[in-house]
Amino acid sequence: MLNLLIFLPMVGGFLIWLLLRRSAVAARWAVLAVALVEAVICLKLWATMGDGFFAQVHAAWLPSFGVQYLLGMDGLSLVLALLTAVVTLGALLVAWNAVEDWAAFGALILIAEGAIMGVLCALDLVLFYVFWEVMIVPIFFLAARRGAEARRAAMRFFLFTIVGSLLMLVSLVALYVLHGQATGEYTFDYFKLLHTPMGAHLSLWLMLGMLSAFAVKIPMFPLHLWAPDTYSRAEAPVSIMLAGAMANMGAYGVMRFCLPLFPAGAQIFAPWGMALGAIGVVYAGLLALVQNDLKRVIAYSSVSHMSLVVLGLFAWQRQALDGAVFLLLAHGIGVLGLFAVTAWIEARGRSMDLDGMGGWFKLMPRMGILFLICLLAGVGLPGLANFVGEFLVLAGGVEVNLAWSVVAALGILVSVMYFLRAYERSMLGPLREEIELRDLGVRETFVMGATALLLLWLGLFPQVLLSPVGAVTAALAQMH
Amino acid sequence: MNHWLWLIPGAALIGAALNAVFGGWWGVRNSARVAVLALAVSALSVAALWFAGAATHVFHQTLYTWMDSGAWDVTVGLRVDRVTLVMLSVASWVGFLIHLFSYRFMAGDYGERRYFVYLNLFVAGMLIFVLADNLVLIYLGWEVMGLCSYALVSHWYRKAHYAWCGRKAFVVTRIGDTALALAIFLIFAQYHTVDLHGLFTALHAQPVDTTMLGWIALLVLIGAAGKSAQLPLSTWLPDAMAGPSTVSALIHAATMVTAGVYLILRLHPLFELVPSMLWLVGLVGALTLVYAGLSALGQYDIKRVIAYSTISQIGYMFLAVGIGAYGLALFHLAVHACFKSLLFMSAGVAIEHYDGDHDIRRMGGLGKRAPYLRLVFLAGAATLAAVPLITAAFYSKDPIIEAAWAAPQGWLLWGLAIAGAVLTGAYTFRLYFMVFPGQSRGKLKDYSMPLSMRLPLGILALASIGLGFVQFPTEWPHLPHLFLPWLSGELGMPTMPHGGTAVVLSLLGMAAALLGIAWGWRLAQREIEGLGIGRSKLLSSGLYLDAIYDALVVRPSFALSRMLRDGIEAATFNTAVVGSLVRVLRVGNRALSLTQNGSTARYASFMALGVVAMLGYFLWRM
Amino acid sequence: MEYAPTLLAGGALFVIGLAMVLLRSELLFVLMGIEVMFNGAGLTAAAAGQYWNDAVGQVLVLFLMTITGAELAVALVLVYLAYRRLRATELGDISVLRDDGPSEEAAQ
Repeated sequence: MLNLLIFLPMVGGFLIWLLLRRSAVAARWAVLAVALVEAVICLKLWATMGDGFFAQVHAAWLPSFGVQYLLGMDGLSLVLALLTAVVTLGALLVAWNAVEDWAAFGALILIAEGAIMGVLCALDLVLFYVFWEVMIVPIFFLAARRGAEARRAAMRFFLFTIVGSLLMLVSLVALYVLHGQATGEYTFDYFKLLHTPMGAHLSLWLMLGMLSAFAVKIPMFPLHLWAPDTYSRAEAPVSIMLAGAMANMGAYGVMRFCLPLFPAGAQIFAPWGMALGAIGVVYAGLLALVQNDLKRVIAYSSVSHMSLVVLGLFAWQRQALDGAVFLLLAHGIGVLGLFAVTAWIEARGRSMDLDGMGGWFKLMPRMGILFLICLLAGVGLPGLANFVGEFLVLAGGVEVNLAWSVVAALGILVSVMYFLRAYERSMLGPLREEIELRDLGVRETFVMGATALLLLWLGLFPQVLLSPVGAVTAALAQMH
Repeated sequence: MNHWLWLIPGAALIGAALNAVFGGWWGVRNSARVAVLALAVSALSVAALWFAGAATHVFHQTLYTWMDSGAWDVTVGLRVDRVTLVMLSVASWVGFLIHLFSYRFMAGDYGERRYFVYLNLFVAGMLIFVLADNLVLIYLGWEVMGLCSYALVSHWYRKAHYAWCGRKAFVVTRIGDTALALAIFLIFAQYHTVDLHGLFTALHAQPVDTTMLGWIALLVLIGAAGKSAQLPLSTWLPDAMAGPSTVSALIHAATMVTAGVYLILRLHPLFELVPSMLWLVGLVGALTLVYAGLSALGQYDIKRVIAYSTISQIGYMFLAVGIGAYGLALFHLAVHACFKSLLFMSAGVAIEHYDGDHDIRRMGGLGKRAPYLRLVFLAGAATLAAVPLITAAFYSKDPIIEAAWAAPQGWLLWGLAIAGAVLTGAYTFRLYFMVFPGQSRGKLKDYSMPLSMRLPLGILALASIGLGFVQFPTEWPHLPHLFLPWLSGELGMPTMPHGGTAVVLSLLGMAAALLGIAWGWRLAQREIEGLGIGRSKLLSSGLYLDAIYDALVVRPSFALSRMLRDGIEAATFNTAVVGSLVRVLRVGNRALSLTQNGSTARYASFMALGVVAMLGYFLWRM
Repeated sequence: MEYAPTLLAGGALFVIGLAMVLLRSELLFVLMGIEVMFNGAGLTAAAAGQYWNDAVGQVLVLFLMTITGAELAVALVLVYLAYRRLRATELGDISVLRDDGPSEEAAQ
């Protein structure tokens, strides 16, 4: 099942690129079909979910180096896989008419999706590293698709990522050697490496090595520098994949690897991590307040929300971890809706400049309302998904470190300031010029409506996804 | 009835959802009908609650588990006790009357369907807030109200200023909301529960940590002050008058702005453990009521006068809570909801008469043209000014002023409160005398009110006058004392002064109201002569509070943001960090590209050298 | 049996071949140099096979000859194509792999 989950989109994407280069329409439908099947597989996994790691796949790979092909899924990876499937579907629907070369574009998206699924399922560190690197490649090409500016931004993203990845590789190998020296068994098996004895300082440095790869992806302050540019220069569907699916992998990595593999080091770093998270929340929020480009507002808001996730991760406490995971889900879906709005605006031939907007609610009431719902989710309005995550993160954070949690709570305030400012300048007020903008069409309404409904559903009934995560976070919180 | 509690907020919520989804299909007027009908169901459910015995029993319904994460176990649970019941009745019935009024008042507006969706959603939020049995659900209702307030204040969004006013209302109250959220987090960190009942049990089970509880109480107070527009977060309410008058009546008079009072009432066991904080609540109320009274004197916009009076009246409620007179606070809350929504709706009609002009300098002479409106407005105004013996506020507000005397530092609180009473009479009747008697100073046109508008106004006018007669002052014999003793089980009885002091205080209170009314008449004459107090910039700008915030908070935070954007993010991070990374890579690239000169012979010789080196190494190792 | 002369001959062939590869600039001579190097390696292999009394040495030589044949065929085609496409008969004419440092686009 997990093999199918990972390789269906990879192989499917490759075949589509090979065979359907002639017909964009056929390629588009094929890509959508593959993504749909992928979503169905995720749902099926959800239905058959068991305790601990279920649906394990095990095969030898390079036995002489202790490398194996080991896949497994637990509640944490399951909910993130579900999110990835949904976000991918959303990205495809957003791209529907905006992209010409569907064979290449769709193939890259599908390969990225498969790699993300691989990252989520890999339980061998080498296997994980392989999927991790495979994930970056299609994303890079996707991000670099649109002009020199985008290429430059994508290049910066790639640089940050590669440096982080290399440091992670060093940590992995060091851990491998340490474990081998201590026990005589040289292996990359996640479960066996869990209890590698090491000194606190060494543990800290190795943890930082791994974290540097994850922090870039999250993106964690102050390694967020690549993010706003890349998000705002890339096409909307690509930004959705970047912020809604790939960024989650950073947080997943911290939870799956950084904390459990290096508990002693993570313990030392945890207060610093919370501090960086809290500063990031406010810092990115304040920056979002003074952006004049709608996409950059969204990009900085995404950084701000992910910083709150960081705070939750390093609070390393039951509620905070639950909240962090839930915030990932909420943020992923919210970002889908928000970047979709930018896509609709672009599809109508308008620029992202807030100064060129104003009063559009009159022309596009349906979009106005659905846009508002996505914004309000980002603001953390109770009843929508983000609220659950934010509240849990902060409630847990206050218990661990009051000062930084209070700083982060200011994010509640800042978020309403920047989002409503952006909304007011784009949708409200008088019409600046006499223009005709048609309201959302069927496909667009479907994407936005589904997003809004998902946000509402998760906000009112978060328990559906909180309970699978709960078992994982409870165990993790106990390590602290 | 336990199983039907959900219907109270549920009906309004369903109304909002139906209109949001199907409103486009069944048309605007039907949306309005659905909205009114939904509220009727809510209001009737509350009435049914009375008949089912809620006056004596506690009802409780748990719907489902909302969030369950370790100790953080939050359910969607609704609970009705007597305090809740009073608040529910006010919110649902006043809400229903305002919906009924809106049905014709808002007809033909460009955002009618949106208006009714948000109005229904608002009432649902308020009812959830009132019914909630835990802090997180309280916060949900609290925020939903904030959202609807935002959306309804900027209802006429095509005017940039109105949109800005809505945003201001949301952002300023969000400051309070953040404080409330922090209070919830601290409570959870301290007591590991967010359930109200569990919290009160834990409060008594654990030794009191006064510092921590003090912080919690202070944060709750800031939250309440934000929602209830008390100092120092009062600045949003006057600007919130950009919304339709019915919105002001519902949100900024009857329900949402009193939520802060209700919140502190709910949490009064917590506040009682830190008496200094409770006293601070009273002081905030006392200062606010004078501040807002003074500001109201200087306003020319009819709705802003009433807005400042709302701030002032809620100040009285805060004062009552602060001195431990919880029952009186709730009593005044109910009375205030009636007369203030009446005043706002009447003001809305008055504005229609003057073709959308809000300025009272250009009003006057409306009494002859609209006698019914004059009558109901007079009832509201008299109640606001607390005309002795015949109006409800006399029985709800004057006891608060008296009780203030008995509190610690009572002379201070009482002095502020009695000054506020004079101001109340003055600004209210300055407004009345400028709008209704005399000759019109502006364009006056006809506006006919159908029954669906007259009826709510009439009912509210009767309630403003008559509601006081359920609770006469305790020392008056042979008259009904229904309200306070009924609530005493939950809220206790207020401490009142006794004997001669009480009589003197009571007479002073009456005198203050009458003095204020007389002063108001004088002020109105001066205004009409063009020499009025409204020319004072100090008063009309609300003691420069907006300007102060602008200089101290708004500008600095934007300046900080811009500094971060251009200074830190662009200059330091992007240039220094990213730039140096790029530079290192470029230098490395240049160094390595020297070896890539494209000459095959060079490549081959490097290969040969490499082989030789490797061979040499292995030979040497052997 | 004395192996030193054989090994010396093999080594000499290899060095001569290497010198041709490195010093001559005409493509064909470079190719010939490679062939000479192969022969040197083959001779060494044959001698070593004799020394260990093992058939592998001779097998290796046979194998080497086959590979060399195939390689020569491909290499000649490449040389021919280099002449056809790039008008090049000398190594110096082919420097497509030269790197001129970072382009300005990747600068930021």
